Amino acid sequence: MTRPAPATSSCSAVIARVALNYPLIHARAAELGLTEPVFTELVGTSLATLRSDHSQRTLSLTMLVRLARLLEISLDELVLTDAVPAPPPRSAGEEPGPGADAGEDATVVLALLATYSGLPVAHTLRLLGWTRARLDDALAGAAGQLRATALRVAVTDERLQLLLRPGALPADVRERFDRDRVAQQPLEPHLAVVLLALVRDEILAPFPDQGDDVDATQLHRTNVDPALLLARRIAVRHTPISPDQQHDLGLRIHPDIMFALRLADEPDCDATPRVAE
Amino acid sequence: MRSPWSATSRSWIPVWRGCWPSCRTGSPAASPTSSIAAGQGACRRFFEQETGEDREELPPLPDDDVTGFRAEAWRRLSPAEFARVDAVYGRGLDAACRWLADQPQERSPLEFVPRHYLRSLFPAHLRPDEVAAGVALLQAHYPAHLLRSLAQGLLCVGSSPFRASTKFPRRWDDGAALQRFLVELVTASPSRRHSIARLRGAQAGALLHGLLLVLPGDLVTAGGPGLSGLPLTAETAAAIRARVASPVHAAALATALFTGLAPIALGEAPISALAPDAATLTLALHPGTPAATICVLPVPPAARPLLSAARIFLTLRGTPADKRLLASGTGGTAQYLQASAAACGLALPLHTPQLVQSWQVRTAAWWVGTHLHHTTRTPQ
Repeated sequence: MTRPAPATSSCSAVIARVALNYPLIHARAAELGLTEPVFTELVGTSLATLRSDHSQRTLSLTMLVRLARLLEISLDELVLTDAVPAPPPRSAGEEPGPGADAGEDATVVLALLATYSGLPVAHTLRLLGWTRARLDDALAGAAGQLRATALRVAVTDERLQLLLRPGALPADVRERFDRDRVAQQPLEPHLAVVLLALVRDEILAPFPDQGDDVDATQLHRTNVDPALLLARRIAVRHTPISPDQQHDLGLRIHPDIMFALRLADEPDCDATPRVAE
Repeated sequence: MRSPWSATSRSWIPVWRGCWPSCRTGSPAASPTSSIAAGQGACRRFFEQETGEDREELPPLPDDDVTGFRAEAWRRLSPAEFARVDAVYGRGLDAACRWLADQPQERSPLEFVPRHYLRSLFPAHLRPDEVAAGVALLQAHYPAHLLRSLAQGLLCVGSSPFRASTKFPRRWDDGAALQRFLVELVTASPSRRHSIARLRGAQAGALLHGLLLVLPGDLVTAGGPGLSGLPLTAETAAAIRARVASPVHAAALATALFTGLAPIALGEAPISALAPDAATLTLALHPGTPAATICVLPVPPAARPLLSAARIFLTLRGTPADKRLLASGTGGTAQYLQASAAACGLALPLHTPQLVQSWQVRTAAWWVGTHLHHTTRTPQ
């Protein structure tokens, strides 16, 4: 199996410029006594036409083989490329020389960690056919490659994991994105039950004599964690919970929800201010 | 935190009361279509009222679910932009109120809680028919006194009238009606943003009636009617009729346009999938599975004559009702469909998901409480 080239060289290989070896073609055509009309007839296109196609996108594999056979040269000789030649394949169990391919190994490890969110060490060693020492070298190389980034590789005896570097993501930024992500989640039915109960509480708050109403919310009978209601922006803190208020969760409906239901003129005014006209 | 209504002795109360009249559609002025058949009335009224809607593209909308959508729009948009979005949102809200007013379950959700005391033995998400089957099974195997004492001992049945009578959440069991309402709400909307604003409004309106509409979280990218589908106007239908001779080809093109779904999948629809009045296409997602796995596609009024003509054409040729309605107008690789669209100068939707990925198939609804307000029913 051919091992992937390091990131820098593999990138250049992908965008490598390819061209026909025109000096060699001219030389071989002269040696073989091929005139321009004969060349055109045998190949199917003129040399001038081939030269005019700077990107060589019209060259087909069939035409390349035809040219190579006509000129009695190999395909490698016929085509010029500025790509870095791939290193010779190494057997799975073979260890690299000192310092050789350490960067490649690091790239492979990083690519694997980016592809699979976490990898068991033993599993990785078995599938790669590496020794633990080689993996450690690769991890050291990966740490070097990641030094200037927000990422790091966390290594335990059991598992490899690509993680954020501590402090790379400011807490306030993360909180903003977390909140946005939570806001996009569809409301779960059991939370909606509480939501509706809180709305009803808010509406009926000015009319406290509703004790026998079966529609009364009786929030304290629910098993929903108040912290979840706060995190999902379904409720806000109303009053602190005291020992003599154990039946009261100390929550009230979030102003944004009253606004969503058109039961209030404005949403939570303490959140991000409204943009100007 | 400063609450908008806490500062001045619950100033939201007048606002709340002020909301009610906008949702009352029972007044003669607001119910011009009393002759429309029950079950489809709400949304057909909605279509007819669309003439005054702002059809210019809306500003970028928040991705929030119903709880934060309107508030985020209020914060992010200028007052003028918010007013435009809110008008569309309000249409969705009012449509949901009208629709639920016509639903028998909304009139008294408590009536639909099975009164049998054994109901408490079953999980809340089961459908009434599933619960009934379970109750029948228990009664067939155990004497009544044993079952009663077991239920009372384990579940304290009877000790709490509140819990026994109102057990929420409870699944909405008419998925077809839900799909029909939601799709009719957005099929004619001029853009994806209009559709999203309407759907968020509909969620708010449904919550006011104690119903949670759970919509897919990917409305911004999802496909299906009103999202990847295009509004099929009378002008578009006329253009199709004028330039496509074959009724089946014309129907296939119209269906591909207004559904925004994969043409090949639509081509599998049998003739019998089209309702007698051509108002709905009901497709089985997985043939042979229970009726719940269906994709309901309301047909816009302008497209109904086209689909109806295709059915008549095929029937006159002796095609059985279980044969495909649109396949011969689509082609194996949608080649006929593309030719028809080109002939009409119409662009087919680019993103065309399979039926099971259509957004309305992935919706659900749950009763989560009794209604917060009453909407006057539309006179039939």
